[in-house]
Amino acid sequence: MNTIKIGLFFIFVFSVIPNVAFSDETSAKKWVKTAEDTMALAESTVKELIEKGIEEISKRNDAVREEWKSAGQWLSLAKKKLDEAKKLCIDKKWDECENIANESWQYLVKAATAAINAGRAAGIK
Amino acid sequence: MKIKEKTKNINQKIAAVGLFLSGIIVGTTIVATVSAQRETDKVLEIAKARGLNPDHIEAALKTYHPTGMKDEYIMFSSGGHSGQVIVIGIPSMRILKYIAVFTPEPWQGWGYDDENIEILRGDLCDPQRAKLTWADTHHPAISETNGDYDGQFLFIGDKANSRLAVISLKDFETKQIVCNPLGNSNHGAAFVTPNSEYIIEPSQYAVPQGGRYAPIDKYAEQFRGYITFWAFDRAKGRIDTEKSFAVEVPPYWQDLCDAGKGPSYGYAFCNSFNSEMATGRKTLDSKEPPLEVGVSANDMDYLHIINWKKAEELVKAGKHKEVVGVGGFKFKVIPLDVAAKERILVFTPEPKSPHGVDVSPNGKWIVVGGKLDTNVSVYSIEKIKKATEANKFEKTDRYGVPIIAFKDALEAQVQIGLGPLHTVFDDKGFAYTSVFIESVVAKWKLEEWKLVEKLPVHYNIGHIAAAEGDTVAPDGKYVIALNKWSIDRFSPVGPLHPQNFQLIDISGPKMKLLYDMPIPLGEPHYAQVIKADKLSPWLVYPEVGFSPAKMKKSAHAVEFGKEKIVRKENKVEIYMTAIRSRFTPEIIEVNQGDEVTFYITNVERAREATHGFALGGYNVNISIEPGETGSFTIKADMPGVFPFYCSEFCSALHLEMAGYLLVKPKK
Repeated sequence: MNTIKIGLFFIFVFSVIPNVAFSDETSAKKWVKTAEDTMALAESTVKELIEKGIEEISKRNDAVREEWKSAGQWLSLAKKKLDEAKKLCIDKKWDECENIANESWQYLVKAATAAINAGRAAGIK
Repeated sequence: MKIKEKTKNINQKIAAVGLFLSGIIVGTTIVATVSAQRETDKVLEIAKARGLNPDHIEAALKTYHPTGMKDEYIMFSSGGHSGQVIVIGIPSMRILKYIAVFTPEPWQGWGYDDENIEILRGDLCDPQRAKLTWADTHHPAISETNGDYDGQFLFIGDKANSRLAVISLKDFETKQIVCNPLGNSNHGAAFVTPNSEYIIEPSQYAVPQGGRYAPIDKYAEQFRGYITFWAFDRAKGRIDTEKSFAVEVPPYWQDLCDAGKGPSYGYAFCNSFNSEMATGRKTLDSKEPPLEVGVSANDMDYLHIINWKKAEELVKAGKHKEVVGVGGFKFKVIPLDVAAKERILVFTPEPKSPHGVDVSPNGKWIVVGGKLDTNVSVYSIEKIKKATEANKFEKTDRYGVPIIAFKDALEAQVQIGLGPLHTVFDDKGFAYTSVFIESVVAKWKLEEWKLVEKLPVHYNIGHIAAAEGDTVAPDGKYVIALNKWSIDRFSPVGPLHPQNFQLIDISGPKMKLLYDMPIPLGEPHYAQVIKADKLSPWLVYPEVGFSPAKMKKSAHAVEFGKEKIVRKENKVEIYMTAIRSRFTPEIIEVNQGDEVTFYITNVERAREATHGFALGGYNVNISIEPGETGSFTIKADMPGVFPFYCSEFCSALHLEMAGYLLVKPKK
């Protein structure tokens, strides 16, 4: 059941991927929104894992600690890239904005993989 | 009265016997029950001590094989970067053999024997590829007859160097390696058509055709992919390069393929994941997106639908061109414009950065997993044929390839989670898809198009294999999750971890994890699982003096008692026999600078009476299996005395199975 829930989470996240047939501006803004929405959901998943005690478990389990740390690093990189993308969109550099927002989203995918692995190694996912 | 007494006595006796027998039965039952209880207690004690629960005990009972018990299935797994194939028993998950394919392997003498050195050099191989010592094996494919594994041959591709190998399942040895002259990259090889007419090898990273140079900014104009159809001559057990051909395709980075069967017979389906034609950052400070971003920008890429039966006819009709490829080898290619015009190549959109494409056992459905999608997309061959025959295309791509609208080819989409990759099937109409990012196996129902269940696996599942899973008649019973990472599943062995193959029982309504198997070799990709009784390998070679490379008696075989040394100027040929526990001749004297060839025949007929021939200092170790004639050649340029010995522990007097090569120095 838990697995199905995680699946639904990602189904929502990845169903908002933009269609690149739009103009550069529309496409860039959609990628930023996708990254923002994904970021919000990623953060809520992180919160959920914290509530289930992952930080405590990670203190006594090396594998959980490493994956959890990795998830945090990817998330932090994704945040940095998302901020960068937003600035580029403000400057109307649509192509660059789109690419950086896409890059941010790629990091979120990696963060998701690491977070799921951490949760699974901890026995709470 | 007497009769009554007699009757009474008889009744009393019967009662006494009955009581006695009852006592024995009850007693035996009590003893048996007590004994069984003791055994159960012992089992429970062990389980408790080891922290095992009832699921673990059930898994152990389903996988444990006492000595001598054989496995029901045999799995052929790619050996990844090892360049080899791993043979594994299912459900015990015992490794039975590594088949040496692209990489030298000393135990099997692979890469040390003259005949297999020749196989390693390959057919159509340019000088660079002829001397490679590694490969990245990805997709093994068992030969098929009428869409069913026939257990005769195994094919496997080398992603890194665009090579394909043929392995005979008579002796589990590699018989041929071919190089694709059109480029240096594939991914999916190998996929077979339902009667192994062809082995399909799709290219991956597009290159200028034939391996020539072109600047990266000419990517759209000059870079191309190709789907190669290697013709297989079953009688010879070899690929016939003369009858093989390729279909030129746009530079969209083709990935995996599968051959149609039943209603989709005659078609091949291949996916692609770079319809963006992204080429990465041209300079270090470039503002272009890196490949991972550029390649995943589009929502849709293109499923390639190739009518190989029609392509075959076009080649026979001469509507191909001869491309001069790498190493100057010519290869038949149907040009892209011809393929598009003749409707040999048709596209339909597929979401999103797809990876696996798998045809259902009945041949009606083509299942595509998009790495960055949450669905598997299921296409209908009937709809594809209907649209193609009616010329109902929504548009063409920039190269003129007709595109069937997504809605006109699609039957259904099933939401299964993030990162669907590969799909296999069982005998009850269920499909099992590996879901990478979520690390689960998703079970879903064909034709109802419903997700049924997900099973977490550990971790980052790539491929998935099922018992007889790629055939027209899968067996069910087992799937194997081929996980890329093991993280915390095994005792640490340094930063390079083993992969983790997880055996899953699919015989019941719920999937059950049975077994974790560390894979400490290469980075395996795909595997195929065949019923063990479909294989009938030789236990010894059919006759003494047999050449595995030629699959017939060797011209250099020698009979026991007829050994000889033949000298022709500075060339020396040693015709030697090996038998427990001696080589004949044992002392060999040559001159420094001689070219010395050993032909060694193992004259044994007993199972497993293999002899090795190890020669220190000259990089020689060959394996001579019962009945085999092996050979190697050295240039005797180091003077001295070089002991040789049998490197297989063959008998009690194994250490005595030795001799000397004496190389007399030049005066």
